[in-house]
Amino acid sequence: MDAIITEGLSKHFKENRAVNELSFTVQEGEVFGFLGHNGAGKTTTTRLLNGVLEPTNGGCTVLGFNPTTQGELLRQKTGILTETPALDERLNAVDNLTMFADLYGVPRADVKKRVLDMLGSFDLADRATEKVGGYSKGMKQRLAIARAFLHRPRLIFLDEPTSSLDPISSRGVHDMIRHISQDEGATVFLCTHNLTEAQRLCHRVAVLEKGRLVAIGTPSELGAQVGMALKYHLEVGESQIREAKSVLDGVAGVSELTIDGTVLRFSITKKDTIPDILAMLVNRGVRVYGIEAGESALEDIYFALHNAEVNHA
Amino acid sequence: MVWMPMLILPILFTFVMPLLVGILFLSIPADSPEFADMMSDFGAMLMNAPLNDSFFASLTSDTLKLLYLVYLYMFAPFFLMIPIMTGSVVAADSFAGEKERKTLEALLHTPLSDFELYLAKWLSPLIAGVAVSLVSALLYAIVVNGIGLSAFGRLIFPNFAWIIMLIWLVPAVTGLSLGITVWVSSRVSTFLEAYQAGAFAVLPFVLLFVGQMAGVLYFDVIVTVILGAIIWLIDGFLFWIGGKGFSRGAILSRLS
Repeated sequence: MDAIITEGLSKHFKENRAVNELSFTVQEGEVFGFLGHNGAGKTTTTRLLNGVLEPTNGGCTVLGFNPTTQGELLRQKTGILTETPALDERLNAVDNLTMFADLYGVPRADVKKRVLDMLGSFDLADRATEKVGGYSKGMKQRLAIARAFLHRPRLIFLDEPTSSLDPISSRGVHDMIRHISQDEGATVFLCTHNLTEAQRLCHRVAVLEKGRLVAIGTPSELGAQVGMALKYHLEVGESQIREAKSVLDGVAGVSELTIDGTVLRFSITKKDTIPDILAMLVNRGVRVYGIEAGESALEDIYFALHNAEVNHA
Repeated sequence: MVWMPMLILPILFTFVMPLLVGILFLSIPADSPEFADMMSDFGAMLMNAPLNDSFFASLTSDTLKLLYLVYLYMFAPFFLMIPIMTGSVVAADSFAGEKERKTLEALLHTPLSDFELYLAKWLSPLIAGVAVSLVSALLYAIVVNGIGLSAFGRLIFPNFAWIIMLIWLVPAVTGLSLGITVWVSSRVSTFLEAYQAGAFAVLPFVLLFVGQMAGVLYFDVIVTVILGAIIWLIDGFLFWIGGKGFSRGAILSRLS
């Protein structure tokens, strides 16, 4: 089932077409990346999808609701992390979460436990009764994310969730996103500038330019769309690195193959090639210790799309 | 420091000022030049005093007459500034303050309807204004009756007009100040701008104070009831007009 369906969704502020004719779908349980630079229309789209702004043209269905006419019902089932943490800094963490638990209709009997569990999950339990005004930027961001997860939403909008977090906290947020998507089946709509994050977490991504959708698909689909190779790193045993290279040399579509210690770096045009490569390596008795997407792949795709748009304009 | 005006004003108007006035009036000898000066200042008020107040009419000393008028009539407009200020402070904080602290957007994304949000923005300052006024009235009663008991030999506060004022006029004037503030809050970006706008609700009561000093108008039951009815009507209009323009979409558009 689709969690989000938009058809020609548009929002104009006078002459400014903040969101222009967006049509896409997001499946339930999917982590969907929404990429774009500042002012591309990511936040406005989120507000339209959550029923806090009315579209100028077009429409959307979110979790089966029309956000314009059923906003209150919809927002009971969605959670959001806005661009700024939007916490009441005069209150402590427990009070901040308790207030929102009430607003989101968390059963009274569950509120205390739920609040303490969330604070524990986001490593804030030991500062739970301190005023939020004294928190670091990262702690505020973690608390705001905890608030977004508090009522166990079916769809969660995250606007730059790791923008002010240290690497350990970022990993915690990534784990939480995977958990709610994989284990709880919730859909995640992730607005981000962080292309590495999008590549690691998202099943599919959409790229937005000046309110217009310029591409949508998996990173490999987007790569194919712009004719760009996807980069991968493959780790094997030191004694087998030459053997592995000879296997990859024989695979159609593999290019830019280099050896870096026990790591083979290579590029492919289709993600579907990866299972074939792994099967061939295993058949040749090569022990594979790890494989991961090269960090620049989505970034390269993004800039290729961006440059294409700039040249087109 | 949102709560500072809510603390300072009541203490000033219901404790410090009545206490100083009581001590001053009772300590000036009736045959002194200072007393003559004071009588010239308050002469008009004393000459046109409400004679239908039987207790006032029974008083024979000019000092006591003046003290009674000041406590039961002159302080009423001052007292009404308490709900006005409290209402506008809480209302300004609840909208412009939230905008300033950037807490508003998270609230707009909650399942609350536009009407529920709007009603909450009205009810919290209204409850705060009335509650602070009632506590202030209690403090005022202690001071006035503390001094009044020794001077008049009986408790003088509250009279019927004050009771009507507390239950009828105080919620109305709180509504007036917060109505103006909520309306302005959604159009300005800082707490201070919104708070200053709400303070305009004080103006009619400054005129009332001047009217009493000039002996033209007194804060009796009829004036309180009529004034309350007019202000409730204005409140209703402000609630309606404010609600008409209140939508989270419009607020968010202005936040962007």
